Amino acid sequence: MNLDYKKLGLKCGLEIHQQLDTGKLFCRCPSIMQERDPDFKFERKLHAVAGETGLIDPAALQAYLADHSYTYHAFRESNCLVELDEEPPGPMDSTALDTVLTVSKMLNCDVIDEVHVMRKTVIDGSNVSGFQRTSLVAVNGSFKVGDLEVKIPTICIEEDAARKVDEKDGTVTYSLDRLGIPLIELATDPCITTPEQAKEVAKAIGAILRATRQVKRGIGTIRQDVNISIREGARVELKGLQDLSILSKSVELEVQRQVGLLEIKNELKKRKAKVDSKPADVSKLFAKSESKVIKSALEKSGSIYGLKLSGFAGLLKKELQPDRRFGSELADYAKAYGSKGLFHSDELPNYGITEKEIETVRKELGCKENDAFILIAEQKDVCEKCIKAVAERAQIAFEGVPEQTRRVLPEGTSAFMRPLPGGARMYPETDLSPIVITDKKLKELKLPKLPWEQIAELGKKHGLSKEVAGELYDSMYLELFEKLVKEYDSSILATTFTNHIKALEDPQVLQEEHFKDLFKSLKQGKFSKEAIPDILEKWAEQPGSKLSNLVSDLGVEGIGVKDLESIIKKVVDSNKKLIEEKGERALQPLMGMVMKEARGKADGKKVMELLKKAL
Amino acid sequence: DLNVYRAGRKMLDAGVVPLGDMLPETAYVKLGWVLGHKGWDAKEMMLKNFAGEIKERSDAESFLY
Repeated sequence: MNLDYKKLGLKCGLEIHQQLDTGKLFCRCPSIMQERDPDFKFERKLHAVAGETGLIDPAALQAYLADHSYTYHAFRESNCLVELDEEPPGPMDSTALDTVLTVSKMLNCDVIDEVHVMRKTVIDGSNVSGFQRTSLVAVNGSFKVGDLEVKIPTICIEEDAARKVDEKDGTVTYSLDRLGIPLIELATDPCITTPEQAKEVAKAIGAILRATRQVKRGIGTIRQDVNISIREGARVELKGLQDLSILSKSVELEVQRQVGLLEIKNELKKRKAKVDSKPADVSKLFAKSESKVIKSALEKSGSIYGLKLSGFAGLLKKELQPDRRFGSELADYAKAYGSKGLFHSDELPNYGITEKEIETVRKELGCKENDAFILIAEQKDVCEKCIKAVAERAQIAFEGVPEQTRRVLPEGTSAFMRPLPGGARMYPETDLSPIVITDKKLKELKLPKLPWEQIAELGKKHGLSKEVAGELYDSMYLELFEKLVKEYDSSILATTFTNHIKALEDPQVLQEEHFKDLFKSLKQGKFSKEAIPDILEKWAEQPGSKLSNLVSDLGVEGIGVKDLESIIKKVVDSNKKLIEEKGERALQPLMGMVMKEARGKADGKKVMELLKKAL
Repeated sequence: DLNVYRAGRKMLDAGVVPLGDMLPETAYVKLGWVLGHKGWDAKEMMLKNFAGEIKERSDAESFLY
């Protein structure tokens, strides 16, 4: 979609949470994620208490009244009494703090003199203690991405929350393996003005973090939130982007959504539309309905409620993003209050609801031709809550775009998650002393070179092109490369780790030992480098097999020098005329013939060498 | 963590050596045992873990479950 982002006044800021590869932040457990069954489980409830002002935070109160209980899965290896909230926190992990200080200096920030740990209230049970420990470490940083100057207002260090495992009515289950893993939180100012730029900035920040070599890598170790607004729209926070590849698409789609909502706003104004203030119970109209959803609601003694939306006809089916319509936005609000969804007139007749039934509803609600309506089929009290929420959202359509937090969906579209949070409830962590950051400490930090500098050095040191060096730097084989390059040829290593490895479906199967074996045998001449892709492919399928067996199975054993020389002699002898005619230029065709004879088992360089000698 | 309260900080100033999660009874016996070794630095050996009497991590299952 070709949107003029400058004209729309797009402003975009990033917030990045990256896991650090150190021990946990406030206890000495290792930061290991667990795939197996928990060693033990326990259940807790949260209780809302009044703060210093004597008032209970309304969001906390609502969560408390919902009376949820929380089940936690714990692991001997990853958890101790601190995660269970049965022991006070230990001192902050020093490596984690040093890493955050290092990043702060790399980004030219002012580091705080004393780092104070604060508690940030969390009401969804993802922290056993009911709060997340977080500290501000640095402010006022900046760095350049191309021509763009990106400001970094804050850098914080905080603990990661528990991982949601399951959610059933009334109970949420979390796994505590992730609780307490250190996170570095980096926020940028809203300096980004195009979706492409958002991706570039996110990439650059990721590269800077990886330059410290102290961050975890892999899915789920980095979480990106994007704040987006267009001039006439509103600030929307997109949460939970885990993949850089859909970042720019998500920004693009969000702008598209806001533009769509503004178009709806203008259209509603033109039509002099109105949201009906009185929802109606229309259950009796569906007494004989054949629709599955309606029948099941009525059977459970639920009700069907309807709401008239004057002037909204045709707008509910307006597509704001691929596969998401304005009706989907209203449905999100209904879902947030407990309904499984809603029906709207633009999509009916459908779902077993007939034309006749539609007619009766329209009559009952007093709908004219340009009016739309929505239906909710749930228990009576749920209907009332949800219809009210939908009415409120429909009312906001007259103002344009609501400020809110949205959850990113796999295709880059998004769904409403919750209203933007108000001022976070933060108060000091009284079990920990402040940490003084001395000038001496900052001077002692070894700052790694910026990624682009490291890549240039890597390329220069090992004779690699900028592209290959860059790819190698970003890959997970960088350290292995640096280990092996001491003994083996850099370009073969680089090609293997950046090129050949990509052809494999599941490269993670191959471990360090596999590669050590591979290159050792290669150096011994057991096979030629051309055979590497095939060997890797077969080995990835049967990682347990011995290399020598694989080599003979594939038939790629290197040809001994003697055999090679006899092939060359044969080729030279049978092509004497060609050699006489072309002289030096006969080398290439002769080379082809020898390689064909050798069936790819020979190393090209070696053949050339021997051929030249023979001529 | 003796740094949290003023009484604790005064103890640290007075030269007290915090023994983490070691039980007082265990500490008493261990001290006697450590002092009986000639050439051992008492503070270093009291803080060293020999048989699980002083740990950096508290295993939930041994306490609660």
